[in-house]
Amino acid sequence: MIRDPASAARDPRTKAISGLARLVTEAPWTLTRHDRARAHDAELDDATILHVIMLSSFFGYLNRVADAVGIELDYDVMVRPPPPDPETPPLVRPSHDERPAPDQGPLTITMRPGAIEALAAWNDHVMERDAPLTRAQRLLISRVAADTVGDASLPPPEPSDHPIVALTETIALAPWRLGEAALAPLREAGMSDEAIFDAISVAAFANFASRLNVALAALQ
Amino acid sequence: MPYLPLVGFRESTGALRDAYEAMMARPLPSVYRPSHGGEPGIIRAHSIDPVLLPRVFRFSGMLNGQGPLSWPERELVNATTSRLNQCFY
Repeated sequence: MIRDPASAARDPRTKAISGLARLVTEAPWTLTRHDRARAHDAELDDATILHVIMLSSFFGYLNRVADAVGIELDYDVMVRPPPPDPETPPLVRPSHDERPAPDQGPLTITMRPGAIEALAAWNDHVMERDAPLTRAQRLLISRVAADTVGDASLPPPEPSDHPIVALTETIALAPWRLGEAALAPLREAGMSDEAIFDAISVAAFANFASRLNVALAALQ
Repeated sequence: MPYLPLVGFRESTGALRDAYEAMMARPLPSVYRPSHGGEPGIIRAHSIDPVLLPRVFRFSGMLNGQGPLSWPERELVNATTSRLNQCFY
């Protein structure tokens, strides 16, 4: 069950919840109105579907920060989960044609009390600052992260060989490859620990925000 | 070992201390309290930025404090997501 938590799902409701979390994590742009209809058939209402999508997107943020910073497991567990396999290929990114139009879908985060305010407070701190990263660097990271999940609400990134681009792609597409080596090019570029954490925080946030945008836009 | 210099509650001062104290005052089921008595690692992971820390966990509280998913269902979503991302957390 630790290797495959979805195997714990036995009834239609838990199978539907687990299936939605998988789609959000692996390919949010592939969600369609049929997935919403199937979830309704499994007795998940729209508020529950929204909860799954927001929670899975957010947990993807926590996973990425945990891996990028290198925290250790501090809970007592009977069975340790298997270690990450760096040989696992990166997640697939959608082609240009697969990007859902960034229109309002049937579900919006305004349906969840407190969500807009909490997201705005988080976004303001991560995006609306001039240091350690510049605003231009924050925007670059956001566009790279948006591109990895097909979030058409942001324009594609300008080409750049700054190491924050490669780090953002690893955080977004292959978090199992994060480690000291993934941060080394940022250190070699003279970035401080605070600036490196800022880059991790922006990249993981942008990945989360774009994943949520895309999943909700794709459902329509 | 973490790749960046993280500061735990015991060594924290100033704004980080205040952020930790506010976090620890929140209701938290006992199973989420590490047996080492310190703060959970995912909170410590944000210790480099004491302003960011409460904003991230305000969002977390908004998603975890109320339905419609039950606690076990939220854990299923989180475990499914973590496993696919190959994260132990």
